[in-house]
Amino acid sequence: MSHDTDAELDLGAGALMEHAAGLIPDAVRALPPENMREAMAFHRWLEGRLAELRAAPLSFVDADLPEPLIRRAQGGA
Amino acid sequence: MAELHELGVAELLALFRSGQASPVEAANACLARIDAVDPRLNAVLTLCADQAVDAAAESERRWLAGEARPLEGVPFGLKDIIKTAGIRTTGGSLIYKDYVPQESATVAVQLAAAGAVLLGKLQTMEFAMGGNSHYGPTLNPWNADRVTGGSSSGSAVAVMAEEMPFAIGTDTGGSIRIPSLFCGATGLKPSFGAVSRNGVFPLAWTLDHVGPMARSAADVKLVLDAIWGPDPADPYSIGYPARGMSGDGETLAGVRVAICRDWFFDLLEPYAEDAVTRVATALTDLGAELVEVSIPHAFLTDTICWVIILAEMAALHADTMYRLQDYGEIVTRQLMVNAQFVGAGDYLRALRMIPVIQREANDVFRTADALLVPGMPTIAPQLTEEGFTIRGSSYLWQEIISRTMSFFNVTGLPTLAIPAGHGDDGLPVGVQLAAPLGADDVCLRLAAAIQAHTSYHRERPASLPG
Repeated sequence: MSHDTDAELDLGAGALMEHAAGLIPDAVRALPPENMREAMAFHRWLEGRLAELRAAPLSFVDADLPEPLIRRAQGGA
Repeated sequence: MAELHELGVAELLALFRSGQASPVEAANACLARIDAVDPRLNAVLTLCADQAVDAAAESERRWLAGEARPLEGVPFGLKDIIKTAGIRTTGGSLIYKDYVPQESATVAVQLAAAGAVLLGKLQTMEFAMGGNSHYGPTLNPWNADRVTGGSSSGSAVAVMAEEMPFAIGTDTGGSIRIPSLFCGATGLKPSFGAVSRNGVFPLAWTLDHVGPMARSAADVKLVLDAIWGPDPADPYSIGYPARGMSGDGETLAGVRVAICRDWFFDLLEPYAEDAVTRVATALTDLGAELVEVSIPHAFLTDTICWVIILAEMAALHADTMYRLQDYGEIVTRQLMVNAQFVGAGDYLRALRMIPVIQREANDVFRTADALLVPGMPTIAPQLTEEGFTIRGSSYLWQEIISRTMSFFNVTGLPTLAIPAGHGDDGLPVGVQLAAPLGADDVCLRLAAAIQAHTSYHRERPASLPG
């Protein structure tokens, strides 16, 4: 489960709410605090996943550019 | 003799063909079953009883006239993110609670053209993501205290509670296979692009699939035959040249099945690993050869899947995001909020990795006809659990839910979930069989052979929650 305490999540959730509210005007402000705490716990997890993605092996740089999805299965890439 | 509502697709068609039962009798039997068990289970969101009886009467006429179509008179249900003309399609959401489409999704049109009889629209987690729908929880028929899994929750429960012989679900990160595994159904995520998604609420267009759920691989195949093929209305639709495999159908001699222990076996309850062992034993008993393979970057596929889902979900819901308070369940809201934090760079990096992962998958199929991996890492968790517990350790919901699923959405490979016995508390566990793109019949043939050799798929809940 989340390694953060509720207090830590609430602290983070304030910043999360501020940032997200700028992106989703008004809607985020309407959410109850427990929603934001859950969202913050998810956010902590997502940060880890994004870091993993950004640290993907350099060999990916040499990979072919992704083909348009309409062709992705046809060529057996 | 079994009651009509207990019979599968092939069994019903045989009775219709021989005149021992009629489509109207079958429709009425299923409607009576729904009436008896669904008020508690809540798999059916919108019942189409009158239309179903009318359609069944037409099927009856066709059987008598010698004009029966491939699924003539077979009752079924559609996950409620699949549009149906004149029938409410909610997407499991409050935002679309009164939405009545003017046109049906291609898959609904195809099934009607094949003679199948629509009984109702089935529960889905909201927009095929997150937690339960706004229309009440759907109960696991094996144990009402356990989750059903989703997002095709109503489809799995309706099939396994014997309310109907098959249903259609969708799968973006496991949403056909997860509830199938938690409820003991047989569910196929077809090859990417093989089944039209036209008229289906999207979750993530790069990963969405539409597919059949039933109580046997043979029945899944009958349904797949009716919905397989290119659709000009779906720009991602692909016309695969063939999907079969050679063989005599009786044994699996000469068939090579790969087992990949990277990633897929890292976090499993012992009983989930035992399920793989049981199926592997059945495969070798039938003459197949098992080979160990490696998929070096399988560990990245769950991350790739999540990033793509969040980014595409944000784009798809941009017009309704301002109504965030109308999205239900904490899970959905946390996804919607966090979707705002996946940048274009992350999304493009995730997309860029797809052909890399596909290439590794193709390497598997240079040495094997199919791939066997675990199903879900655990049995269905308790409703009160916030995440998963594996070998005594707790994990976040999102760490585990798609962990063994995502690889197949990212690669697009056809993947069939089948039951393979029980874990703790008598709850179903299962495995997944995958094959090269377009070779869906390979999964289905292997599973049909396994199911002819074993009886896991015939097991039903001793008594439904009452």
